[in-house]
Amino acid sequence: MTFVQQKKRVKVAVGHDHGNTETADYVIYAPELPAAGRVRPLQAISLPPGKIVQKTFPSAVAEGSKEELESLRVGAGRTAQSKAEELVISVNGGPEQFVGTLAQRQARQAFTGRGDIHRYESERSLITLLAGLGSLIEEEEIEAWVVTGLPVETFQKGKAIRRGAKDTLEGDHRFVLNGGKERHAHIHVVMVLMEGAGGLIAQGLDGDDVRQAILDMGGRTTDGVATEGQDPIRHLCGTLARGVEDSKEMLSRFVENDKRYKRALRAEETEAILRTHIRLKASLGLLCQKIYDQPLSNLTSDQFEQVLRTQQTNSARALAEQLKITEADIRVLAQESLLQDLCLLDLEVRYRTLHARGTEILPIDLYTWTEKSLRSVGKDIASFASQLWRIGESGEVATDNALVLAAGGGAYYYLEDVRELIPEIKPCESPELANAAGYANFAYSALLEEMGILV
Amino acid sequence: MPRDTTKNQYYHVGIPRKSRVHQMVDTGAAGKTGADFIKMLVEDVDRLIHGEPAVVLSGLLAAKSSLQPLTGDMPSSMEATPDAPEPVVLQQAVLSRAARARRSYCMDEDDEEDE
Repeated sequence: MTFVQQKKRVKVAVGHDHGNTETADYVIYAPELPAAGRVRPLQAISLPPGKIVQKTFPSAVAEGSKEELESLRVGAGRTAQSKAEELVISVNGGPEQFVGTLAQRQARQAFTGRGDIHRYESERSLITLLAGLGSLIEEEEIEAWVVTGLPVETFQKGKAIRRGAKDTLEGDHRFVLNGGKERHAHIHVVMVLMEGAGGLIAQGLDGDDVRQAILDMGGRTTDGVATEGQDPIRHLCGTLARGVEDSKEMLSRFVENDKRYKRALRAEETEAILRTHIRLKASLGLLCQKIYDQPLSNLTSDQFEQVLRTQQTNSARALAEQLKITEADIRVLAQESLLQDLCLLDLEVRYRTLHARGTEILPIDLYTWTEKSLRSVGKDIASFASQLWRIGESGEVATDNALVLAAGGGAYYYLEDVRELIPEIKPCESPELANAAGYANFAYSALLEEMGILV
Repeated sequence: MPRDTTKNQYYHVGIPRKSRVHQMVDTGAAGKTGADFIKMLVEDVDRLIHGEPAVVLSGLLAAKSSLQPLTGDMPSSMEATPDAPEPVVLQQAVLSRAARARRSYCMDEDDEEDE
């Protein structure tokens, strides 16, 4: 008797947030039903929650093959090995493509679709979805119920673009990830939503009448969505074409225009600087409180330089001992900065060392220019929120909402600017994942219904 | 007699006050009333009596909720344990909002929309 191994098949609900800069995929596995239930129909509350996995990675896609990559790495008799986070995918028998950080690093020109409203209809949206699913799910056969989103302005352009975004993903697809076995994905697109709407599903308030809003700060666009319950209020929804990528470009221009440096920064360099900057700023703020008993914004330029020099030339341990910084201080700081993994070691955080014409780009310059770049875009975002959600003539903004949320990766950078206008704004937990989580739950709700389970 | 606000009828089964499970029993959550939840727990007990798996309790236990007192001796102290969110309850709340959103958005309407 011959045993034929059954291909493993899995049914999942997926939130696919294909942003200008980052793609977030959030996956909820369909629940396992009891073999024989006595109570019909089954209720979602009576089932254990489905397993959840998620991933964020750069939206960059570029042509390139695994074979070429490994042959480049073979040297001195060593066997080439791909790194775990690297994604090389071939979709429906097409050429291999690098995805994510690999595309950013190895390709001369990686495509992210920035500024192209049709990027959602391009094959790249499918490539990032399958790369995300393939790396999150082990099974060979994937049946995915997918919800994705479009910027509000793009969404409001009409059915053609929404249908295009749906048709690009929908259907049966074959793919090979990182030279492994060929796998299959059956994609059923449940819905295309407005970006931001996902965050309100994931972390908003219950109730049909409750007014709530969300500011979703992305790579190239910022979306404002206001709803009653989950019902969008059309004239209170809009898009501003500003985001984190604008700050990165501005930073690069500052360095390029300075006669000491005169060189543009690469995308991966600006990305690294911004990520470091929020940790550094949080650490400097704490040092400033301990040394001067004042917020960072109140320091003179001489005082600031002194704090930065102290931070850059001492170890975290030395700083903690000298200034009596405790774990409790760091926990408070983590909450304020949205950096949940902030730790004592971050007291000694440094920018990546960058050179231009043999000269090191000074940390004080990087700090000053990064701060200017962030605040410039942050002010634009705050101004956009003000125009979209101003109440009456008093100048109050969004005060008629029970809850205003901040979502998207930009929340880490621009929350302080928006807070000046909307002090009650609340950052989503893991803001970069909030939309994808909401989309996934939308899809999960539809999937449960299809399985005969009441939500 | 003034209401004793430190105890209620659920205490003796060991559900810590201020826990999310207690809140669910007391006030309901995610579109279910407290009575719905109790009804489902009673149905669970019925299932157990008939030798079938208890789905609500299994779900809560799988989610590592704070129901341990039900499975062992009564706790020596009825002090409230730190309030930890139970994934079952949280996911129910999200699903409830997702169901509400599904009523607000409809892909099929696109076919009737004028460009």
